[in-house]
Amino acid sequence: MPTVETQLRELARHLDTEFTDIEVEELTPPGVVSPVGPPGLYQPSRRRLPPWVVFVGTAVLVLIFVGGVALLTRTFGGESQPPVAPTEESLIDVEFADIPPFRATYSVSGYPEGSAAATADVSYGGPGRGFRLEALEGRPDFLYVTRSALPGGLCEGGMSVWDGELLGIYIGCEPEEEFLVESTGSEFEPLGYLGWHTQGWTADGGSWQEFCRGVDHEELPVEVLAGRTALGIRCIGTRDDFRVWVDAETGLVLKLADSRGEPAWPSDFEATTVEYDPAFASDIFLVEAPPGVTDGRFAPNAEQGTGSEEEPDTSGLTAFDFSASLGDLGLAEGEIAPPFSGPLLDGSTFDLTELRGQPVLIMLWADWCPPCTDSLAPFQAVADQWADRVEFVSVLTLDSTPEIAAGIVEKQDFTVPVVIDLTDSLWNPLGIPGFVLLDEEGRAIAGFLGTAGDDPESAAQTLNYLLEQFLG
Amino acid sequence: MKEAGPRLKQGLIASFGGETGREATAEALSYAWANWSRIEVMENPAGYVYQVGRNWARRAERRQARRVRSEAASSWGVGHTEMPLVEPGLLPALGRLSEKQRIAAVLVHGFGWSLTEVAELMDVSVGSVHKHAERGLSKLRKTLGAQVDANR
Repeated sequence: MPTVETQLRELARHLDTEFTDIEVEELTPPGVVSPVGPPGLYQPSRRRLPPWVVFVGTAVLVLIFVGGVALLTRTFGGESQPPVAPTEESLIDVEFADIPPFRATYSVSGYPEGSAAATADVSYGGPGRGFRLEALEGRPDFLYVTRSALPGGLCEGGMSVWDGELLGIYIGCEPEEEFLVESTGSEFEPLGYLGWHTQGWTADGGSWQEFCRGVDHEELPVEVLAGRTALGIRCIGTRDDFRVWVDAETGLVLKLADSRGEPAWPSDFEATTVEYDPAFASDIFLVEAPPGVTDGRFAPNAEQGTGSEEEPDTSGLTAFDFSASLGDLGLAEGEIAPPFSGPLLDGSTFDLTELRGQPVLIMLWADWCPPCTDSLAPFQAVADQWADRVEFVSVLTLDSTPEIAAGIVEKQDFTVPVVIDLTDSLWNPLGIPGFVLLDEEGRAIAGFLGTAGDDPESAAQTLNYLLEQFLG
Repeated sequence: MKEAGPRLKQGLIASFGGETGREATAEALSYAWANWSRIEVMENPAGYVYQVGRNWARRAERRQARRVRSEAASSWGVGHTEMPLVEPGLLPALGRLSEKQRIAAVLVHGFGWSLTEVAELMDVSVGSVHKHAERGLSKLRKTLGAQVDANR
């Protein structure tokens, strides 16, 4: 089989020859005449403006002049003007993190029957909780929750998707990561749109202007849609024209108009009713699996969404099965860890078999992985707490750079041994960070993939929970 | 910017596949021409024009996602010509990479761009490109079970 590099080179050669038909004419907008063309780019020939363009242009200028005079007359003639909502600090400009939590019942028009969440319960819980959408009509079993709202969530930007059964879960840390789902469906639904943009905002610190980045944009006149004040923005592309209006208070998308939407699957929609519930219970962000869904991959510290000091009621939550999650790490329950030895970051040598006789908690990590480096401190804390009963080891893996890792370890005062295993010879996890608990005989008895919690405290709680569950 | 057109096309195709990348290139170059007096004074005109195409392509992808039930990888179309040296699993695997990993891996390891050239296009650091390219390659190897090319 050709190597991956060879295949990529072959693919590139193919792409270079397959798509060579971009013509100069196609790149030249009709009627555009500029003496200042990009040197070496694509130079269109200079053209004279057709007479009809001159005529129409003159007429437009006259109309603008007349309109301007009329406006000045009204402005200075003492006539009252309708109030215009301020836009300087509008949500069009503000990052989504500034939007207060809300819950709303939301109906939209503009979609083929049954193709969209025509009526949905949409909620935003603020940073760290993310979004939740549950369709009430159209797709009654459709639930959409941002990953950051999930217990033990990894990184903001991901989502779990249910459609009667769990279709998949997003475990990446970058907003561009694909969802690991079989199918996300073709239906548009409002909060998905909202969530989509929020992913970008979270990552880029952007806004709707950011969404228009690369093309011109303008703020549209304030409108009232479904009884709500709506701020609008238009992204002006050369062949594209995208307009969106959001609720001035919550950022909820109230209207969308996309010039390139297809008739069969229209992009456009408009909210018909939006009813806000100012006193909604924040426990809506607890994740409960729909009937018939059994999935055990959620960490046990699910109480973070309640915002309550009281002991959380986790009875409705799917229990986390650490043993079942070993599969995510390429391990089977009870499997003896393979003989493994390698250099330690401090220059000495590590041999896993020497730790037989004591339980061992192993963390797989990489220096370039922020959730991994965030996990070092809670791992160290738990290691200190369990030092007399459990051995703790960390394994630096997946294209890491030991020199960089050494700096991180020193900075964080991380004293747990760091084994260098850049070729992933120990295990072949689907991702990192990963945690594996071996018993005294070296058998894998528990583990999971992903961070143990959103913050050091919850991460340490999860690791403690794991050790207590299996070691008493 | 002398080679902006072809390189922009490579970048956008690497990122979004042949069909969408090609259209995005046309869109971006068209915009670049119409707005050149504003763009030429920018610090990184090529990077800006790339962002124009990227922005357009992302919107196009979202429109496509609403129309068609399909895996994300299928939108990374490359045309209809047979590629005997390319494993069938490569394209879906590329589709599952993050956008940054995909573009870095394809441009660096496929088109042979230097890290600096990719960094300029993506407007990120050289080190970041290196990480994205290597992580992308590593994921592809894992998915395909391929061996490291000892000749490189």
